[in-house]
Amino acid sequence: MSHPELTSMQRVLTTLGYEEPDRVPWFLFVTMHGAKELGLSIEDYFKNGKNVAEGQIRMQQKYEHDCYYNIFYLAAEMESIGGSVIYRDDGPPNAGRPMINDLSDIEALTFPDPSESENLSEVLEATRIMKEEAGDSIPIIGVVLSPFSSPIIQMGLDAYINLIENNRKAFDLLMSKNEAFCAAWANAQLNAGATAIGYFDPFSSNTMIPPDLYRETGLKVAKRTIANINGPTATHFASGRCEPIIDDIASTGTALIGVTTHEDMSKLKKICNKRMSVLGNLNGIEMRHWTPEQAEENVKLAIASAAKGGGFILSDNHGEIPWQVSEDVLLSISKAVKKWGRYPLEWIDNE
Amino acid sequence: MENSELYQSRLKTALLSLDRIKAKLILEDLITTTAPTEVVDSIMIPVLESIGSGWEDGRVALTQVYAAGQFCEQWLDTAFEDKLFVKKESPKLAIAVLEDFHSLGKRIVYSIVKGGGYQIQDFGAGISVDKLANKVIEEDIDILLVSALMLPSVLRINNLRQALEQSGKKIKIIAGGAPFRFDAILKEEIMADAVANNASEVIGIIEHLSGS
Repeated sequence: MSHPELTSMQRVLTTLGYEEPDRVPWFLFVTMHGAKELGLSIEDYFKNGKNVAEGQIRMQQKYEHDCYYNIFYLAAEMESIGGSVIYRDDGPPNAGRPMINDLSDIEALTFPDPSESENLSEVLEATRIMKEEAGDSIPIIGVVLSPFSSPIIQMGLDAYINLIENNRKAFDLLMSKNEAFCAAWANAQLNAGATAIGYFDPFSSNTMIPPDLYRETGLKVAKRTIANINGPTATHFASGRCEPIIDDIASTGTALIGVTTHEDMSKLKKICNKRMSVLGNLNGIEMRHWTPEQAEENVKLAIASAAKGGGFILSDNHGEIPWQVSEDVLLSISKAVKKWGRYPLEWIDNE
Repeated sequence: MENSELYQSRLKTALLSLDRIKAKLILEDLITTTAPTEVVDSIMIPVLESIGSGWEDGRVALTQVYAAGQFCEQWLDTAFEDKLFVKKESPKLAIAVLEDFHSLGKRIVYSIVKGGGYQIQDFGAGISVDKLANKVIEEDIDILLVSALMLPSVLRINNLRQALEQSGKKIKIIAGGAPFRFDAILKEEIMADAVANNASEVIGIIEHLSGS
């Protein structure tokens, strides 16, 4: 039996309710590619929220995926507190030198009101324009870098590891400041029209820290922060592994988890057991050189591993499509989703 | 070396549980009866390699790899403070993060290479292709270790290779970084002499490239 055509929003909400929509929803996390659409440099593109909104709208029309994505680049949060950002012409703007160099920098750390910050207000403006365009038909995904992962760019990862190991008092102070900002920044995006917030937390993944340390630190931070975000969240580990901490992640109240290509998405979905949906896990790095046939095959593999019964959104595994991935590859993925993603996915049983 | 597997197992357990005191006691016990080079070759390097491959297949976290490398580096510095421990005839080594400031990978490799008994210069992070090439030539480096987290930085290694070749000296490049773990073809695109899948592999690669 075929399903009636749904809007992107209906499609996503249906799958998050662990039911099968008309077809597999897919989130194409394109950011910099919008600059190509508008014929701008990456730096010029991200200077203006109107550009980013226009880029997102054009890309959604071209690839027919099921979301708008409001993030400019993760370093924008550090930029809002005076940090430097390094632009390049072939990749995402990157955080410059760490701003926290000693304990006094943690004590002095202050964050702006997002609506009054020069660069974050552009993200909010982009979100408002997307919302005007989308209404209630296309979800808008906002993004925050988790309070627990932010110190990676605030102070550098080696200094941060040493802080966690040697000075829990300073760590707690940094977390309390980051948590307050993170919730405020997430809520500002929700108020501007974002439907849900991607809580990017790579440092909590098992790739980065052992599960026991996560339970002592990042888990507590996530529980406190997510409780203060006034909308649904999706926790993303940006290619990091998470299988041993699935039960813990579920206890944070998040609705969705981003899964790396290094883990078995089918197994993770089973462990989630309708407590969280899964999002993933096309390999964005490999995607650069996929042929149309490889794109189709990889889409089929991901759908076959986790789409049955809903609770699944197809996406890349990192939360950002590399600049080097061509439009042809993205169009091939789009075509494959339409061809193989239509429920009830009977082909899976026949192959 | 007698009981090497037992010592390896004990040291690995101590390092993974971040128990520096226990790790130190194990090595101090060993050093009373065993030559420093043997402690490094038979115990420390195999343990670091095992921890590195554990990270590669998801059993070990990066913070544990970092802490293990840092401990071994510091222990060697302390244990041999008055007679700097340098292994064999070391090639001139340097390490840098190309173009961005994600420097943990560099820090881990630096510690592990020093923990393996080599001297290595740290050229820092956020360094451009041209500046790095000039520095490598200026310092007469034999093997350059390049750490890169971002895909565009990895792809820039080819520009670095071209810049180094213009100097006329054959400088070996060992590349490493997260993008390589996601794309087997990437190492074929990059004009590096070797790609390390994890930090601990670097020591074996240095030995191979330098013929030691």
